[in-house]
Amino acid sequence: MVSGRGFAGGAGTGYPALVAALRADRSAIRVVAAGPRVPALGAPAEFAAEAWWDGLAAADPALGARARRLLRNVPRPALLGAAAALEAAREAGLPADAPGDAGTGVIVAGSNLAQDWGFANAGAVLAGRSPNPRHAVVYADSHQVGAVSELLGLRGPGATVGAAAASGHAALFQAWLWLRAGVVERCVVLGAATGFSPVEAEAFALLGASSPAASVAELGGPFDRRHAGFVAGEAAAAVVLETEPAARARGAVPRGGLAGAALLLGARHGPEPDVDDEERAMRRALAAAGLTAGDIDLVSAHATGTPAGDRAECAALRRVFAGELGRVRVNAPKDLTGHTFSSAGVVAVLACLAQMEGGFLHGHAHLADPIDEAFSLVRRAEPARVRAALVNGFGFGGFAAALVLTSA
Amino acid sequence: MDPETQRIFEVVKANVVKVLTGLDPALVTIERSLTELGANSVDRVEVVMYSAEDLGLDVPRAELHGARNLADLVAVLRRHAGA
Repeated sequence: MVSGRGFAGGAGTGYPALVAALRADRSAIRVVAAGPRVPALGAPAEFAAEAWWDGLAAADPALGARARRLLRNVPRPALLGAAAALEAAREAGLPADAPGDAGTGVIVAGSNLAQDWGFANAGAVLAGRSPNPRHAVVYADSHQVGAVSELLGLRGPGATVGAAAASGHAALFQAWLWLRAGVVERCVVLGAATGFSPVEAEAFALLGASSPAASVAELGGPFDRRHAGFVAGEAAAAVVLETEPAARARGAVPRGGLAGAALLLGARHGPEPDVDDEERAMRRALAAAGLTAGDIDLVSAHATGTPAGDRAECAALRRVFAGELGRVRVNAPKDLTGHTFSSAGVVAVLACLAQMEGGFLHGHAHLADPIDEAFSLVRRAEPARVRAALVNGFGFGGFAAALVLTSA
Repeated sequence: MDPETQRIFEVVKANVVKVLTGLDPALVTIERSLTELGANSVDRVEVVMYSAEDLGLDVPRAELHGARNLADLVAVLRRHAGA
């Protein structure tokens, strides 16, 4: 079960900021660049490190000092990640591990997280200057795992788990396996923010994967007929996952459960979505949870806003939900948060937990004319009871993944 | 301490305090080593690099390997400053 939640992204800093944005269908997408070679729209986080450190120090001077020391002169995704992980750990009341403990796991979703930092350092070296002295440590995939471990005093197993835009799913799948296998009783799963450089921004634009919209008014979001690509969002999202007995023994408050998970490859490496793979992932996650399509109240769709991806997911959902299609509700968190890549799966999990706990469904801010009227898309936020949700996540490389969440 | 050594030490000290956030500046005396003050290997490179930059110097890394304390570091920087 989930005992802690944390968020730092475009909706604001802190999980409550995400919940407030979802309740209001408030999109974080805005104009961030002049274009035309890089996308004009984005959903960046407005995260002020100094204010965050000062806030921590006000309540706990030692923690504030540790965070400031640990997270000075690091790539921005590491700062956002630390903020999200710390918030989740505090909500869970997660204790630091003593050296003799079995330990708490730390899994960071996403592996190439500091592209923008690397780009800046490449520029320095090309200009004949030294790279940032921290580069040898912070460029590595292990950096955020180590930073979270140090910040929270965790000494169990750790890893990064990457699967492009399905990284969050892959990390939660891994944590779910660790808990089931008895490797750990609890695990911090951090969906890390992805810091794209201008190279990735141009490369996605070249592929036609990112939205060419020059203004928010022009943007067609996920499932909208005007959809023409994703909008990059910036967010870190974290959960603390625990076994039921361990959580109960600590008196931790359950926030929902991860009942089933599936992560599959498609024997193809490219960016194209595959209806068969998506269907297989959803069916396998449902089976792992011991549920059927009829038990699902909400599908939190992967839906990034690319025409091929949105259409493939609709086709896969038609197969899985068949006669349930008009009943099951569907929404796409990326309409509000942008596509946050590495963290997208964990952001979607937070969104589902918020809807389960708050008794509502979030709607969309950039959806006017749906591509498929057969779906019961949530247009504007509305009250609802959500007991079970299916969360889709697909990634370049042929990854198709799905998670099943149940309410507390 | 002569004025030039003092000037260079003050630059180094400012960078020690910048890199080792939260450190009491009064603890940064010239006979101390960066390791004693709590610096790890990356912190030490940061202090050296930022100090050289602030002084407008280009110091070969090899010359700094033997530095045992801040006095040694200041001496190397001073040699390159031509004073």
